[in-house]
Amino acid sequence: MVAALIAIMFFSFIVWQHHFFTMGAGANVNAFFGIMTMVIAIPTGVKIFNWLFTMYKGKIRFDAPMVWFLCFVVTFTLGGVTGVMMAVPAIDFQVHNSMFLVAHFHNTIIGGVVFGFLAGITYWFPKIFGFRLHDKLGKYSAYAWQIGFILAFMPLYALGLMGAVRRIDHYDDPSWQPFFIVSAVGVLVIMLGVGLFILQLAVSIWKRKELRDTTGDPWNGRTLEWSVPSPAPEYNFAIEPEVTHRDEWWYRKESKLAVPKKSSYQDIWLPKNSGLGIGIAVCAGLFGFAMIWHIWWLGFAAFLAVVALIVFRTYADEPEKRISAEHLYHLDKGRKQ
Amino acid sequence: MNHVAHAHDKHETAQLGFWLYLMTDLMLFAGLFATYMVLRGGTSGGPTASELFDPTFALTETIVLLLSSFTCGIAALALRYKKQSLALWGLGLTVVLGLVFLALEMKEFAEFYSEGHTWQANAFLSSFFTLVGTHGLHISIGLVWASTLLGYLIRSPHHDDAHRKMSLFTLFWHFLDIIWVFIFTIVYLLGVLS
Repeated sequence: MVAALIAIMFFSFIVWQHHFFTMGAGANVNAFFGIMTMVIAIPTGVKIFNWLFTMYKGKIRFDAPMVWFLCFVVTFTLGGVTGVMMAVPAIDFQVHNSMFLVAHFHNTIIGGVVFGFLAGITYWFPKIFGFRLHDKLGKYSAYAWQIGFILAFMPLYALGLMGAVRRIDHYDDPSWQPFFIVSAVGVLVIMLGVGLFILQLAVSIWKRKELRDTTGDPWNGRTLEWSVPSPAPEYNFAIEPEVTHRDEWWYRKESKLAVPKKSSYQDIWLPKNSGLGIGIAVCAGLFGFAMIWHIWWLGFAAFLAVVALIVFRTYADEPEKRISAEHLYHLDKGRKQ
Repeated sequence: MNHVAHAHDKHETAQLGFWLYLMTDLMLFAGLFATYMVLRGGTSGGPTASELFDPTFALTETIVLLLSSFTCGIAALALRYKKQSLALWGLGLTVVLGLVFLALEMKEFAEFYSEGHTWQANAFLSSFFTLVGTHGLHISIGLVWASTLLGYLIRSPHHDDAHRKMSLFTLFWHFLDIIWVFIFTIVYLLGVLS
């Protein structure tokens, strides 16, 4: 997987001309960038198999993050496959600027970025805010997004091949009409998915007491962020973790090492909370605004304010506070495991 | 972790962080030096480096800045050996010498400018003003820092943080000194020789 990531990183620097196949750069240039674009599909395929084989023979729970993840793999793979088609310059000349292209990049961006992003939000939400998102509504949102996505974008592939270009204000070919209607229905289903996600947020905030994560480990996770309470405390780890296994937290739970001894706790020093950061940010923002609009007096005043606030900060005597080992031990002990 | 060990730990972290910052700053100056070396022939019919620069004037600037580095070092040592008033005098002199250096540099810039040798005149002058001006900007920021530190030393001379703040400032000031030595050599001396 690491090798695949490095390969993608490298090849991604030499594919950019695939946006301009029809520009007239010549056959050799198009051939080079076309082949590089096709080659990048190989490490990407490796990554897709990484994800699939991670699940293979595992005990899969279909919670909302997992559903989002599966939607991501399906949608992103479809987008990748149509991308390889368009990497052939000869095909690209046919579908350039068409609905086929629109469908392709929405497949990759929505599948690859939005679904992954929503999976991540759902998964780490309890670690950030201390309560879970409503699972059922999250799953319904994912189903609506996935079904709506297929309805909205699959017809666009067909339309692209039939000659429909993007950004048209009207069309004369009545045979396109059914495809556009199906696509519009898909948009409505996606809208439903968006609505369900907002509803999920609202309901989860409303019922946050019931959804509270008291263990810090709501998914029975494998990695170390789940070893700390939720929401993550300002000091992160009460004891700096020493990693000896790939899935350290899982290993500790399996070998009953999860609860440390009292003697292993130490005092932690943290910077005190300070309002100066916001003050500096506001003044710096004003400075930027003033420079853009040539309001010189404001720019000068805001710049001086930034300097003054920083100087003031350096004069603060004890910008740190101590959290005692005793306190940390009792916090951890009071937590339900 | 007790109070003393913690203060020590904090000091080490600050030192490491500041060295990292200095190294990134070094990269900035490396880029500006490389730019100057490439562009210094591009005078576009204007005066060349040997016609423009006065090596004696640059030597005066150099001596002033080296002296300020010396007084800065004295101040740091005095603080370590708890000689309070010497530390204050040393740092105060550093500020005065830094101001003199800045005034000399501005005088030089103003002369070039009034003779029409501006940073818009040609590639050579663009790269010259960018390189030397960036150093001057660093000196100006350093002077604000030194004045702040002077105020801090007067207010709480025996605080743990005083040593840390002083050692970071000396690092910065000596670093700027080294950069200036390179500017003196590459810009002024090589310029006059060519």
